[in-house]
Amino acid sequence: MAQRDGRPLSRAMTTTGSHLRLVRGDELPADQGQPYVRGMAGAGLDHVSSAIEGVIARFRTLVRSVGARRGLVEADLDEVLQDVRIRLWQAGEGGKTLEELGSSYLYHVATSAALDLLRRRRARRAADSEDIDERTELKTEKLSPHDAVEARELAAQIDAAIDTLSIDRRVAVRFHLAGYDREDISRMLGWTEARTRNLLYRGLDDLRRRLTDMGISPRRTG
Amino acid sequence: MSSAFDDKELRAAYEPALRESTTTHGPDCPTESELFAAVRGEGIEAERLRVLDHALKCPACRRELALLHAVSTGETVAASRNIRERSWKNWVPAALAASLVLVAGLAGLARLRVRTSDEVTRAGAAAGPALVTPANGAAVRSGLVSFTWRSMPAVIQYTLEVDAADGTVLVSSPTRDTTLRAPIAATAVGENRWLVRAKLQDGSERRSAAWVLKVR
Repeated sequence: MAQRDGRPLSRAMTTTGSHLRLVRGDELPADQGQPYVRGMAGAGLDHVSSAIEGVIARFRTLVRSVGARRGLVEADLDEVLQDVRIRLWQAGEGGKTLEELGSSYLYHVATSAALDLLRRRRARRAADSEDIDERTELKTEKLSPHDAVEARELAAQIDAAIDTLSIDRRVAVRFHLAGYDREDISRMLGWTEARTRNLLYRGLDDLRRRLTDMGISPRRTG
Repeated sequence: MSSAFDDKELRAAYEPALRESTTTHGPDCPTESELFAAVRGEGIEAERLRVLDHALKCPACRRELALLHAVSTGETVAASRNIRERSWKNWVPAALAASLVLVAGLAGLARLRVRTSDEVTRAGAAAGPALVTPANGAAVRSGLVSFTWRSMPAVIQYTLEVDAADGTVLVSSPTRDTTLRAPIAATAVGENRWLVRAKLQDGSERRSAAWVLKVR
């Protein structure tokens, strides 16, 4: 077994924050309910750990790029990836080879971890609200309090106008304004690309007409 | 200048509504399982529409929708390929291989997404072919109907499209000409729309305005 400072390294890892940490036997969590993952020791463990971190880092980049502009909250992704990290370790401990796992395994594990996270949150009836800074692509310029109120009122008026659209056009428009693209809409709603495009065009046209009828026009400067 | 919102203005004006973020759910919120089924396109359309309509408006559900969508999208790309390395001990090269596959797949998806999104954003009526006949709002009988529009430079193909109110495509006919006789079925009775998409030599696409076509 690998040694450091004359003491054997434990055959375990513990989770601290968002990272796996190599620990000594006498540093194992006293509370056995605390999650830890058994693994190799020494150089082998470091090798596996860095490889997992590499996979996680790349997967994170991919998921973020999909979630960007669609309201993905960084903190949510971090929680999911922590769970994925542990499950990857457990899969390796169970003797699974990467060939057996496949890259789709990552998505399966991540989806499962995401669902578990949502279930835990809902069970706790979490009531904490999140700060705008947690969002990935919603950085906006600083507005004066007056302008901010006006901007919120305008958004609420647009929301009210969207509510008057037929449900298929309404959903297409809401998806579009929330940053989802036509491929996303097609897949989730089982529509053809052409139907999605038509409903989106029609919905946006309807929305513009409604807004015009309501006397709402864009604020243009210059 | 038009007093109507263009796409960019609409997105910007709506953005404050998207900034609201909370994890507190109400009694009308779908369960996480219902939400996930909708993200995966499972179940009947009416139910998916109901769930997604709520999820896109409710801040708590919208946040969950974004997470479920982000972690599950791309699975189809990944599922088609397996990580090549055999051993658990070979995580490093395997990770690289998997990452390359995933990055390549996602880059492709990203390019596709930019292109399809841009079509909606950029393809304004002013940029596309000008429609001529049938006039906007004209009523026609079912059967063969003649459609005409003005030509545009650098077009390699036009596509005439007639679609019903629910978005169903009734006619989608490619042509290099600026006139086309297309069959309009008797089942298309009611108010439809027609438009022409022009595919340009540079690979981009322009869309005409959409005109109302009433079928008697």
